[in-house]
Amino acid sequence: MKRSIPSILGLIALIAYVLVQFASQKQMSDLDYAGFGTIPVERKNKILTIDSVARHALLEIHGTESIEGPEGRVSAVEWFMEIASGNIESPKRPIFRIINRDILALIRYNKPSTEADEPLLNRALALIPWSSINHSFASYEDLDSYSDKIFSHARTALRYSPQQRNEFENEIIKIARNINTFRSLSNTFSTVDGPSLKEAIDHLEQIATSGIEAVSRRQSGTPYDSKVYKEISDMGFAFQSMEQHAYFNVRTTSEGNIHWLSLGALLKRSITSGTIPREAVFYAELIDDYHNQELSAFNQRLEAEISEIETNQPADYYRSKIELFRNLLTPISGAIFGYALALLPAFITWLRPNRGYRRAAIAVTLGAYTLHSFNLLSVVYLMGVNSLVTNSFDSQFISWIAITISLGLIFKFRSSIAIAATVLVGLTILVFGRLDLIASYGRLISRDNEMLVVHILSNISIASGFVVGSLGGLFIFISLFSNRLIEEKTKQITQMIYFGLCLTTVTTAAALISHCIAEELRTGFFFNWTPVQSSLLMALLWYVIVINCKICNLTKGLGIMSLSTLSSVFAVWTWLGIRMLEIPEVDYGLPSAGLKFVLAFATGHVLLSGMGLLTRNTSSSNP
Amino acid sequence: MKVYFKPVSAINVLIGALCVSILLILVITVEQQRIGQSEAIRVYVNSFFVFWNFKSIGLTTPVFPGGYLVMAFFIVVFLARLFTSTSFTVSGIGKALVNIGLIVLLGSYLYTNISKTETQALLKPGERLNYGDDVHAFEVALVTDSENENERVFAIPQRMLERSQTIRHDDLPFSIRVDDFVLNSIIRERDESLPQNTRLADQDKGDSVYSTRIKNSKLGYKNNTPSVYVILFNKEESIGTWLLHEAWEPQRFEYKNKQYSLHLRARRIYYPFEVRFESFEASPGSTLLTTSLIGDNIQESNSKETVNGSNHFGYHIFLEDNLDENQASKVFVKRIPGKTIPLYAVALISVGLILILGSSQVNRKASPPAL
Repeated sequence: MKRSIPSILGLIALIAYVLVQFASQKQMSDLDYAGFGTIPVERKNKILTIDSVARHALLEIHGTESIEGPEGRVSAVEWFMEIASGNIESPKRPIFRIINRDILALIRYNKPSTEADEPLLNRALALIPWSSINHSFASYEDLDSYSDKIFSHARTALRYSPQQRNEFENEIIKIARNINTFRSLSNTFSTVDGPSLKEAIDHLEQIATSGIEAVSRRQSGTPYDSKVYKEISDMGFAFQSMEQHAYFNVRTTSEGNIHWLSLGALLKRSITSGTIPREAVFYAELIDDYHNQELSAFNQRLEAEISEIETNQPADYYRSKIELFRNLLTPISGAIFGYALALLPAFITWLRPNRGYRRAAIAVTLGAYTLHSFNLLSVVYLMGVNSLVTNSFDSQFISWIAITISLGLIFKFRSSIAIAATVLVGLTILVFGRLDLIASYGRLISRDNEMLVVHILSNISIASGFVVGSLGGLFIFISLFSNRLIEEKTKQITQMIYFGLCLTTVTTAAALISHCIAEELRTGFFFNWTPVQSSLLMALLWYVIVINCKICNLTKGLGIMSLSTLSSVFAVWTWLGIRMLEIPEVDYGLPSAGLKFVLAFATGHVLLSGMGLLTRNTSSSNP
Repeated sequence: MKVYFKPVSAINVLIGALCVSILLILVITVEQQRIGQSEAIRVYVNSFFVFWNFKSIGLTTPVFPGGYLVMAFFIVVFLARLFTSTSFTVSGIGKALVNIGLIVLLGSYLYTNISKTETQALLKPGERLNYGDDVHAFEVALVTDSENENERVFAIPQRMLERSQTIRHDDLPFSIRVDDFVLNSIIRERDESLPQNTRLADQDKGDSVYSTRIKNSKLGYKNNTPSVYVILFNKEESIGTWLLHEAWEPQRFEYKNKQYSLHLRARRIYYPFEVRFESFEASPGSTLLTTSLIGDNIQESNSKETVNGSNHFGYHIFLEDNLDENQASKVFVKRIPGKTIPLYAVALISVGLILILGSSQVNRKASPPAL
């Protein structure tokens, strides 16, 4: 029982963190934002909940899924309701993320604080080119007065291909798109620069019959009421404008079939039919309730709509529930916390063997791994298996593979170093992945089905390279301070690294061959020196060198570990390095300034490897 | 015999060569950022040595082995290992298969790389062509009328342009010297900012402008716009200096009552068939391209076929998807001899590795063999 206490405490801490996160995501409001967030809508042929659509929009504009306001944290769905209802405060929120200084100068934006006022941590973070500290945030009001200039620059920049644009041009296009996103969101549930949706519908109800008659009379050439005709024509234009600007389509049923149409399109139809669709009335009244802060009416209306969806489309209902649950749970941040938490007992048990801490490290790692797996499974369920290799999720996927391999090594070799390596590698990739996501926000790169296997194999190769490298690197690092480890653990760790290295070699060879076959189908050439092919070939050649060194007894023990340490360098080069070279084929929007960090990572590992090779019993330790 | 191969087949030699290749591949990848993929392959892979120009002392010297040399060396190493370590055991046969597979893989790459041709042509629906522009080379074409009223073309290949050579031909009344070939250039007006020692032309379009070197395009070799100065002269007199630029139309001149034109263009490669852009359909990928063989009597001898990415007469024809029927589409025609050989080589290596691993599993006491 005593040995289980650290495990229980660790798991309690992890669960507590997840629950706190969940609670903080849930809106503490009398309005049922969560219920509103579950309503399914359609955007770009994908059925998503309003919560997800609002999160994606905010991520695109702001780089985060919630914002901090004077009243505290504002969730994406709250922010969306604010815009959709035409709240006058919404254009004043500084949410537009701007990195480029020339754009700040263009809109004459003054950063509130000077660099000297920044705390030391922020100044350190500012060294990372894609760190959020380097951004300034402008409000829609700030940008709106310069929107002509912004759109003019964006139009000029769009004449060139992405590779021919400079940083300013790429950034101004993003800003222009974000302004459009904001305008689309505000026009989804209201007319463009016109009355509110409720007022428009009420007016339409009043003039529908006489308006239709005026239109038909005009068409047949008989006298008509020109005032009514003008009013109904203006409404038609207003609804058409709504249709063009709508950010997403809403669900509508006709004759038992579900269709996805914008509110503008629905209302445009009602001008000819004379009947206002139920869905339009629902959204108009809901927004009106929100605007007038009639909380109980808002919640009752929402409840009725949700129960209608549950009765008629139970599959959509449960899908929306799962999507919302995933959004609120934020399992990936729970997983990051779990891996970070597991590091502590993992290091303790490695430095001083203790079964209780060992169990705790494994238990917390498994807990974090469960959250991690749930996140990826939900991604596959909601967005399809292809989303695993988009730039938003591939870091999570690589990390998951690395941890799966490491967990396999833990159970095969029962080594405490594997636990430390597991959590370290998982944590590092996930944290880097978050930076990657922020750097390329809004740029989901979709891939063909044929390339799915190729990308998955590459990710497995990268992940196993990280595992082998981190195992070797960790052992060398600790060995610098403790001879006991070299004497006791070298044989076991060498076996583990060799096993991992063989796995990495096979997966890298498979990834390279599949890339070559895909390239042959695409261009006719088996090996075309593309950055991915070249980096995989480099990694494969290095693994062959290390395996030959082991087989031919050129080096042993710590020497093998030192050479294996460089696997991480090849993995990070294949994953991030080549993407930072700004070569058109693999340009995912990562800044080339990040290359110095890849170089620093590589230099650190080469130094570590060199130290390992220079340690006294490089060749005398007997595996 | 084995004695001679022994030093080359040593594991240290193999590891050394592998380390050199890793460095070379790293340089090729990084250099793609600076000079583009095609140029990086040309400079570092399709060469025996990587040259470095020490500008301060005006010396160009090899500093590192190029791709061809490294691959040739690997072939020698694997041949040596094949001769020295083959035995008639399961493991020995496995090793032999791996070595043969690697030799075939490298050999096929060299063979394909040397003998391939890649061309592209712009075609609109209804148009036909029996030649394409080489995507890796340019040429200067001097065109004149011949006696039977057909055009006669004298083409000066890029390697001669790069070496600034003088060309003489019995059928030409003058000699041609090409100078200052620049792979990617822009044309500037002559004004006060004209740099000193700039070469100037005195004929046609070149008499008021000059060419300036710019960075090579990263978007492919074909996206560069080269320029070159062409000087025509005979024993008695200098005829003139022309500046040729790839974006310009041919420049015409008359010499001894005969018409000539000079043009810097992508190297033309003629196919033994013609490509006809038959029809356009709205959905991408469904465009109908046809290829027809042209025989000695200019007779079409092949039935119409839809081709896109498929193998026809040993050529691979790809069409860039285009949704606008009025816009010309890019048709890529590639000849890639031995393109399937790498797959057989990979299969051989895989079988070899399976045999080696299988035998080591059966006889676990024996030390595992080297690859």
